[in-house]
Amino acid sequence: MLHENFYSKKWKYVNITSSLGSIIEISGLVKQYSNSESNAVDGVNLTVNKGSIFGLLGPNGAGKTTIISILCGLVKATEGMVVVGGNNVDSGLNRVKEIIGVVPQEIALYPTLTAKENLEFFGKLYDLKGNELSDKINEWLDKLGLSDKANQRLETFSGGMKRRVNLIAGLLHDPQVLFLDEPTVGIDVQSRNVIVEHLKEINEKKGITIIYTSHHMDEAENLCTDIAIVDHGKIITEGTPKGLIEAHTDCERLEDIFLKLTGKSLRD
Amino acid sequence: MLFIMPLFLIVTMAIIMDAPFKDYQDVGVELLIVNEDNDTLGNIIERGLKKSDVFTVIKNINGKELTRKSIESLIKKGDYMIGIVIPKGATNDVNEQVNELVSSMLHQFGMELEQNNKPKKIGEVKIQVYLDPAIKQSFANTVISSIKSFTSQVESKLILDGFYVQMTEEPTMNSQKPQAGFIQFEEIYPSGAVDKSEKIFTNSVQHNVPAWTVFAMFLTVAPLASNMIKEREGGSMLRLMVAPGSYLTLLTGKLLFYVGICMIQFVLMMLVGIYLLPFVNLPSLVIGNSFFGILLVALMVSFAATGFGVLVGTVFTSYQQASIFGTVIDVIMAAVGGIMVPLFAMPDVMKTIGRLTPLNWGMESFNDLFLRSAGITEILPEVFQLFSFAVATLILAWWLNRKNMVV
Ligand SMILES: Nc1ncnc2c1ncn2[C@@H]1O[C@H](COP(=O)(O)OP(=O)(O)OP(=O)(O)O)[C@@H](O)[C@H]1O
Ligand SMILES: [Mg+2]
Repeated sequence: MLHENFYSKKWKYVNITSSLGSIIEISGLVKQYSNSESNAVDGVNLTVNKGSIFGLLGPNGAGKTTIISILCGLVKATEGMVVVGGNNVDSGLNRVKEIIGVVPQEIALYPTLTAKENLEFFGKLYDLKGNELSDKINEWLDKLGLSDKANQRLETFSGGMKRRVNLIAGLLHDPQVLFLDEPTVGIDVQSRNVIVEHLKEINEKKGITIIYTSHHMDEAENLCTDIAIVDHGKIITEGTPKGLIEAHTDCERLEDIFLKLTGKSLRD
Repeated sequence: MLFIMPLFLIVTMAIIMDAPFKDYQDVGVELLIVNEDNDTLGNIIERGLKKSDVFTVIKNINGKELTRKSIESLIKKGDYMIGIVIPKGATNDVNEQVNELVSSMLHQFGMELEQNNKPKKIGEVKIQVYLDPAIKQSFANTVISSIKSFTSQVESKLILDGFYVQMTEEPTMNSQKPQAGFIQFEEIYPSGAVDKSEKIFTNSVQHNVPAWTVFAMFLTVAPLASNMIKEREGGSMLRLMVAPGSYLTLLTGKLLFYVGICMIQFVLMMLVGIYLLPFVNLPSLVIGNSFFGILLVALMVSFAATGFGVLVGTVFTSYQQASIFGTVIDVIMAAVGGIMVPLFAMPDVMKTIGRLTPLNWGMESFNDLFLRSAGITEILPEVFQLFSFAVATLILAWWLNRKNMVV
């Protein structure tokens, strides 16, 4: 008994320290796809603090999706170590999966099921069930203005509506860490603002850490507590939005810094 | 892919369908022979069969001379299709009959040599032809009639020889064809079936239902594979993979679902064979008496079809391609694997290829159970093959999937 107590106390202690510090640690991360010559991720070191909204910004092909895919165990790293919530993604993937939520860049839903059926299916994967599940689904559909479409097949949805369902599917189970890969692409300004507000809300109220990629610099500036700009698989700068703008005295907005650092040439 | 598969299909079908039209001439049907007689008749038949290009005559297997018993068991096992046994003393019996005939003929011509004009009834010569019950009746007929045409030549020769013996001069009856038929054929279908009515074992229902059932079960490959691809394309696969630990459970669930679909397919086909076909004046399907064996084979075929479906779903990237491939490959394997045309009617190369298809294993084990009244032990090799096929396809699919595991 004493023994057990001792361990549980110790475990709590560890948890407390981590809640004060980082939730994601990336060190020396390299990813080379087997059919590619260059590295998609090229030596990334990164720390994400618990409770932050971390913006991973960069031009097309910079390696943002690849980094997120490695963090949630979908892609194996070529080199380096990744720790999420105290678990090594290589060895403790199952524990990592339990605490994360993923909203992929592409819509990941069943087109022939209704919005509700989709959300029920994916909710059940996280052990949500019964009233709790349907309450949560209804609440979120309502928040994102989809209540009246709940029972329509997803293939009848517009692109922006699908994206909103896609978003709900990733956060329904209140994960500790939420990965959002360009969640607001193709979404109108009204819905985008709603989404940003709700993301801020779950971050504050539920303490959910959010890792977010985007090409909307204004949105990132408004939403994120921390930012890293990635290009060619490398982190070229990181800091708070405010801090970055202060450091670059010639720039007024994040977008200026972005262009200054990544250049104006087109990417693949 | 859209064009290559049908092209491939046409070529295969042409080769396969060509086989029966060749009248089994070039095929070289393997024929087991036991010459218990070891005298003129037996030797002539044996030599003649060896010379003919319809048959490949086998007298020894693994250096051991065949016996009536071994022929029976080899055919019962389905390893060979035909065996003939020329019984002991056949030459003697034929000679006696020939003498009888000759003397009675001479008697009619008024050239009686002996007093005794009442032909004694001498035991007729019976050549036993062992046939695999799974053999198609039309093929059995072809084989027997070609052996018959051959033995009647032998008969005529013996009769003529008989005249030589009994008369010193040239016989004057060349124009008259001797009434042959001393040599009788007895068709034997070795099987442990309780049911004595052998006719049951050689009807088209009995042949076609199990064969097409296996085909139908493998037809699930196409929807399974395209479904997998749709899921991958739709990205929902990705969600399944980031969900806690349950991906394997989900995969297992999905596999079981498709195995279930195959089983339903199987049961439906069986029910049609047993209950529906009699309504259209066809014989009812007889499924033998090894219920457990049938269940085992059906499960293994389902498992193999599912595994194959998963592999196809992994290899292909567009569901249209997978769908076409899944269907066409099933038809091709049905053609090659002996579902449309029996394997023994095919050229050797095709035979070998055919034996490598899971459809063939499935059909063979059903034939074993339904026609040859085999028990579990006899079907184990095929069951094992089906099982290994399923496991191999799944492992390959898993490995391929791992290799290009990317978002
Ligand atoms: N499956 C893959 N196989 C090979 N190369 C890939 C694969 N996925 C991505 N890449 C390459 O890796 C690099 C980084 O791609 P990634 O998708 O991570 O970029 P991204 O920052 O998410 O871009 P975007 O803003 O366009 O989404 C690119 O050069 C891309 O071509
Ligand atoms: Mg991306």
